[in-house]
Amino acid sequence: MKKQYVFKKVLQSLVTIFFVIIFNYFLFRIMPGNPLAMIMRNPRASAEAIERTKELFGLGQPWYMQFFIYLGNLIQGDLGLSFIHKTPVVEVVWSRIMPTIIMVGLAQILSIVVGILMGVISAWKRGTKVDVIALSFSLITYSVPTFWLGIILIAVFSIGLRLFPTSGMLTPGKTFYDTLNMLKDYASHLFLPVLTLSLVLIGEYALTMRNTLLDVLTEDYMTTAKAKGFDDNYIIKKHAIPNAMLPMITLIAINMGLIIGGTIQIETIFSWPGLGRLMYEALNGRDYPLLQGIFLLITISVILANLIADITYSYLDPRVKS
Amino acid sequence: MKTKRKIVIMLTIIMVLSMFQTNVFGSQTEEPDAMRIGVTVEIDSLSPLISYSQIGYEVFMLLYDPLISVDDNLEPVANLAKDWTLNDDQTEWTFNLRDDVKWHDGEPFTSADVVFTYDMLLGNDLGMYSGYLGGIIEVTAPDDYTVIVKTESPKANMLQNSCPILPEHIWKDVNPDDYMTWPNEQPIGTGAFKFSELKQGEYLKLVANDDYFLGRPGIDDLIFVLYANTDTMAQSIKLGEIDAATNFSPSQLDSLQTEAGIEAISAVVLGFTELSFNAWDDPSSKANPLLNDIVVRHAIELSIDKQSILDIVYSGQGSVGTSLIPPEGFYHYEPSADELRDFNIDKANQILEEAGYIDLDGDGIRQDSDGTPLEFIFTLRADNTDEVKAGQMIAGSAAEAGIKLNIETVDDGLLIDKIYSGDFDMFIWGWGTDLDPTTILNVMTTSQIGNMSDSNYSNERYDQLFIEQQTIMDPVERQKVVWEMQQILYEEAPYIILFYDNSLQAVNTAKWTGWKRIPEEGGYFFNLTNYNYLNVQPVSDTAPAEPGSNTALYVIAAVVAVAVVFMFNRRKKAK
Amino acid sequence: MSTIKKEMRKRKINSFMKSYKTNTMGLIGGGILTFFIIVSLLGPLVFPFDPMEFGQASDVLQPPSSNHILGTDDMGRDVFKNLLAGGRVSLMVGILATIISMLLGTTIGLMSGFLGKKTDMVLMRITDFFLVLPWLPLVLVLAAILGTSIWNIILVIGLTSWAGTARVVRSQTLSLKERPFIERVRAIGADDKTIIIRHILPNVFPLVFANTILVSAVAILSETTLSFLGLGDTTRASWGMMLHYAFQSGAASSGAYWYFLPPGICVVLVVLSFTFLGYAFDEILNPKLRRR
Repeated sequence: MKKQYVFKKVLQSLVTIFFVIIFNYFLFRIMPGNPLAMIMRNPRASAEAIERTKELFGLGQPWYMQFFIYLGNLIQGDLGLSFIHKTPVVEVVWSRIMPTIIMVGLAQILSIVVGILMGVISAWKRGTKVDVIALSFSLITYSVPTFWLGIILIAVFSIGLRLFPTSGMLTPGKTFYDTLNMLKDYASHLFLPVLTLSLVLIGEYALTMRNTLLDVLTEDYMTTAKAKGFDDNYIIKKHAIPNAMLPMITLIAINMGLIIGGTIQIETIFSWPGLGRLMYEALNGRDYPLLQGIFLLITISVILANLIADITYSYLDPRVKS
Repeated sequence: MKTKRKIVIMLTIIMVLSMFQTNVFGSQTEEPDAMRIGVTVEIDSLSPLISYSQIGYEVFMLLYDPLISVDDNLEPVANLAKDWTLNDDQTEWTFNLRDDVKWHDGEPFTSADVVFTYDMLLGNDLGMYSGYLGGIIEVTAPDDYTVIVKTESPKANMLQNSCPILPEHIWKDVNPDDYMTWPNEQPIGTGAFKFSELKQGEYLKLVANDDYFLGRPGIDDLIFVLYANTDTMAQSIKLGEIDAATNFSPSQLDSLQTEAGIEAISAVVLGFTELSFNAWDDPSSKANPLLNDIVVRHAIELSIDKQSILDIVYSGQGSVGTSLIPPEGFYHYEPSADELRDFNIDKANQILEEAGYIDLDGDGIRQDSDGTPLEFIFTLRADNTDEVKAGQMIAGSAAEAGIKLNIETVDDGLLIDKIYSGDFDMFIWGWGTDLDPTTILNVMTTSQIGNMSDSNYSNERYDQLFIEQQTIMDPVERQKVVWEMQQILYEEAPYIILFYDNSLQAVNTAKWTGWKRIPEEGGYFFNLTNYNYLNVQPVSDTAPAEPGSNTALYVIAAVVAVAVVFMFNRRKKAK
Repeated sequence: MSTIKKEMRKRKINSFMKSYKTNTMGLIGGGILTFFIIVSLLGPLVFPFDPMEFGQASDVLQPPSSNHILGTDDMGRDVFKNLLAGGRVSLMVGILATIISMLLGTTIGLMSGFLGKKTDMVLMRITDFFLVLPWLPLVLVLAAILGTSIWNIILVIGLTSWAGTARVVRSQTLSLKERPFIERVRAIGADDKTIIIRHILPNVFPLVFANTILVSAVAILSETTLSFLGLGDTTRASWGMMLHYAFQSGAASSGAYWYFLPPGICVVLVVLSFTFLGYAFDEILNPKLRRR
């Protein structure tokens, strides 16, 4: 039963990935704007250089040929050559992936932990002042534009209090003689971006946790447990929270796609050298291969995250049948 | 169980915190004098055959040397070539090279490198430097320290050739077919700075070349720091995170000028912002044909209050534009009082009236004799807010002359598409120019239509003069020709040169001394010379204050602790 | 039959209003939103603002004074008037984009849930696809393709935000379809169209409505983000455009708080009022969430 379910989900994910590859390819083909923009803007470029560039990127070929070449290369893990950097897309993406993973990872962990705690407290103390405060905090952070929050945090923490640097990932060009110093530098640069992204996410996690927990608490078996004489604390810990965690897993997976949007803003504000920023640059420079590469990577990771969530869900929740 | 868990957590926290603590008492190695310069555009490639960016030009000037460079008066000055002679018919140049120059990897620099570089560029026509070599037919090296360059006809801009000389011993191993993609990841040059590292999306680091033949620079580490926006860059320079930066907005300049220890300037740079018309009279042009009437173009220019726009949008940082070559250049042509089209709505209305453009239906828009209204699409670049604001003001005042400009905002890529396909009426953007006028004059030649030309302008006389000016060795004679070219352009108005807008730069004068503006009203950097990079000295060895990075660690340690607690909780439950 | 139905509906609305009146969050949200709607409808009439008109050079970025209670912007215009006009644009974007998103989401959800089988499979794959696509990158790309007029922005936001609604509507439809009353109606001889429009739609509507309010919040935030990233409509003075211009002109780093803070605060308040409302409605319409 379970195996069948997993198989079905994997198959669905593969279909979605296939859709994404096709959509991805043609979306960037119909995009206006010439990929030779970078060269065109320079009065010192020669006609021959422009011609050669076209040739190099296979832009002279008809579109369907370009598509099959793209598919063929994709299977071999070759995402093409970046128009701007003139180096393989895989290399460019690889050099920018870690900063985003670290920043997003930390922010996710932080917001999940804090969000769940807040949600549990809120649900448990339903209707009290604590609940109202937690709820208002969640709704407010959920309503703030990410970039605006980032700018205000810079104004407060970097300019006002001078606690953290304004931007970047490490003090640029500094030579570190020991790892600890570097970690320290890294941590101080990470602080504000992670805080910004976490604040934006905490609200949603807290709200969802609160609601599902309240949902679970009204289920029949909860009443039964209560009738059996278990104390509230025990019920919440042993039964309610584990059950309420299930929807959280789905939410966290679905949020992956949304977080990428948040990182574009955060990386712009904090000059963070990650994928979001790279994607924005690629968009402005009409770097199709790079855009396609990033887009593909992001969508596939979101699809995989959802798949993992689905599978985990099916194993954790006894109610999910084949 | 519970106490055990608590002990583990406590120990973890103490361990993590103590790690940070020991570090405070750890040995401090002497910090090099690092100059950090904030930039908003990343270098596109480390290969001079691939890069087309302004930052690339700046960096190659530091890593490499040309035969002849530019001094602090923007005059040609000996560099790799110590002196040079020109034969009587002005087609053969002999350059005598320095014999004390070494590449960064210790190999000696010789004439073979020059011949190799020039041959490579002439053979491939790649990159932003090959254009400087136009007209050269042969490069030879009679001995290790002499290079002879033969040209087809006299070559006026031979000494304004900033082409960097590349090391033959490195580049000879590169297959010529790969020139377009070979990344040159570890550039080896002869320049004042050596390449250290490039962190994509973060910074580019250069270090002083101890053996530089013109003397070691005072800056130990030179770091170009990439910013994704100018707003945090302005904050950073105030906080001392960076020592210099450019591309500020006028209000940022104002606030930086009040900062102690920071010198913020409005620097004259070679370049302009223009309104370009689609002046293509070819049948495949998709422009509104009414734009082919010079009277309409003149009327639009007359309706623009350039000074007001400059004052409001650019806070007056720059000057009102007239002709193609900026006034700082020797070749700038200033239109006479008769020719000049200053802001004058009445005159705009008058010349349109005389040319038969009359508003018959009373909707405020003039029409030609066939009843076609003077209505055009005005394309602006969304990411350049200054241009958008200027465009909005222009559309407002053109309406007063009975011309309707419909604004559309697009991104760079889309605009370039439109220009390529000739599918536009008018738009705003700008060019940066060289000391020598050839490259910018070339943009308006007929041969550049479909390539470099952004107005699809064509004029036979202009094309003739363009070829002619390249071969006139006497600057005064050449100036006359270049003046006539600009006069033609001004009269026919394929461009309305709106402003010569300044570059707003700031440097830290508390930490660094010896800054010089080049030219007198110009900038500290991005001014075509490497003078400041070579001559600026640190004030004294002061350790830069590091903002309390410990705080972050404490917070992160706390988060880790919470996470640990949480995980223990989970695990217990799972049992 | 129909009078009974009407009476039932009336009773439903009454009980809804009763619950709403006791819901503090809903009242605050409703209050803020009503305030902003009234102000942005009437404000520009009292204090007209033309984004294409500019002040003098001496008016640029002046702090608040008696002439300009919120100071002036980087073009010498009155920030307060701009704020009023901006509310109109931002609210319009939010509401119109939501309508598109709701129409799409509800239609696709209903069809998928009701028709089932192959239709359901295809529609759900498409929904999945839109659900997993990284939203902001997609919007950025679409905005670049379509150009940056306000109508395109509305369209783009609407086209990319329906997937969640479709899912919710589908699952509700699935459960409704199996209810006995639908069987009964079908037995009487009603066709699919009637069943969907007369019987299923009214029952999914409350759910759609709560969702709508949340989508509006997201749509307003989206417009703000798009504008900030330089893909807004430059000829419209939305709050997002104000923030964009403020940031680009360096208002935040040069201390022009009067230009940078108000539009942001307005966005937060309006989005907050939508989320408050949405949250309150959810609580009222979803009985499980009611007090134990």
